[in-house]
Amino acid sequence: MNIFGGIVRCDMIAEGVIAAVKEVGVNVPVVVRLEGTNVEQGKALLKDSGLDIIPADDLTDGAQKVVGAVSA
Amino acid sequence: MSILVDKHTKVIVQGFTGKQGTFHAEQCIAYGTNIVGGTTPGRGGETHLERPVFNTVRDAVDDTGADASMIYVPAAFAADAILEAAEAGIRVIACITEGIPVLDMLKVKAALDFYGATLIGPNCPGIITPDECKIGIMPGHIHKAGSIGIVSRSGTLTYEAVKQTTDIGMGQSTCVGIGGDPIQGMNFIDVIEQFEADRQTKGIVMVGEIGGTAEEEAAEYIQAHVRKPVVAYIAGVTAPPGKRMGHAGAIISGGKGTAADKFGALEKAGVATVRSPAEIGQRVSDCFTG
Repeated sequence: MNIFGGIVRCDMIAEGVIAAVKEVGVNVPVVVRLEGTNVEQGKALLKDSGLDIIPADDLTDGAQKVVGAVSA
Repeated sequence: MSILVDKHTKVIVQGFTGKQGTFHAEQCIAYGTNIVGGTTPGRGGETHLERPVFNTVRDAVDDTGADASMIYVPAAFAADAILEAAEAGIRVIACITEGIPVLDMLKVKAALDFYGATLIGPNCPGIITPDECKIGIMPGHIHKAGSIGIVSRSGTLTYEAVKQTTDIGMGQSTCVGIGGDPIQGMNFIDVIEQFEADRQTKGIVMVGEIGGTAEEEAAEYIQAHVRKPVVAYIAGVTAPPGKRMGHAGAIISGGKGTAADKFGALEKAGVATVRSPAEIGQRVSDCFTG
């Protein structure tokens, strides 16, 4: 997932991702790239959630990580 | 120098006391934008965010001397809000609202020429001259005052281009999000013409997307009139024909408006294109290092 938040706040996105992963359960790798408004809070929320979510720093990094996770 | 807005620009917020208007006005004020007040009909005379609220744009202009406006009014009323700003003598109007009916915009477009106002958007992130004036919803901290002019139909991809030109150290002169609607105020050519004339701007990044012919027209204009280096990306390479991709204006219809057509037109015009939005910064850097 890629979010470069402007009108969207990254902390709100992070909360949504965490809730979704907890609610539906996900069996495939989840790579999340956050950037923009409230990015630090968003990244911290994902990190502290204890869930297996792979953080990425930019688009290329995200693409490589998801491909890497799937082929591993 | 920059284009359209700078540290002298006095900005009002239409839809000032609403949830979105309040949040983004706070962000703009924190960035340093000279927000001089705002309008919410029926709440004139109140104070909001330590600034005066007016019933009408006319009252706001008379009292504050505002020359720019950012609009957070719901779609059903946004066309009226644009016309009200133009009629009151506002010079630069940035309309963030998404979902304004096309027929409303048709009328607005016809009236704007009469008033001589410049409209940015609708359905756009707004405009920013880094360290001077942010009018819109873009995250301020990724910008850096510098020499690249950015014009884009997409919000998120504008931020990509901004962050990458910041990371390579060149920064931005002004960034204009022209929005994703089929009928809009400024188009690529209007913005590129101003970047070409602006002394601070040394290079231009243009981010287009599928749908319409704005990129093809811009390509012709660039070939004939622009001497500064231009780097372009087109979103929607994998878009299926006939499917609307997020923006009202982003649709391949009758086989026209594909990313391939647009890339082709731009390359024919001598524009440097990138096939991934992650490569914009590097390509800009290449243009200046030979």
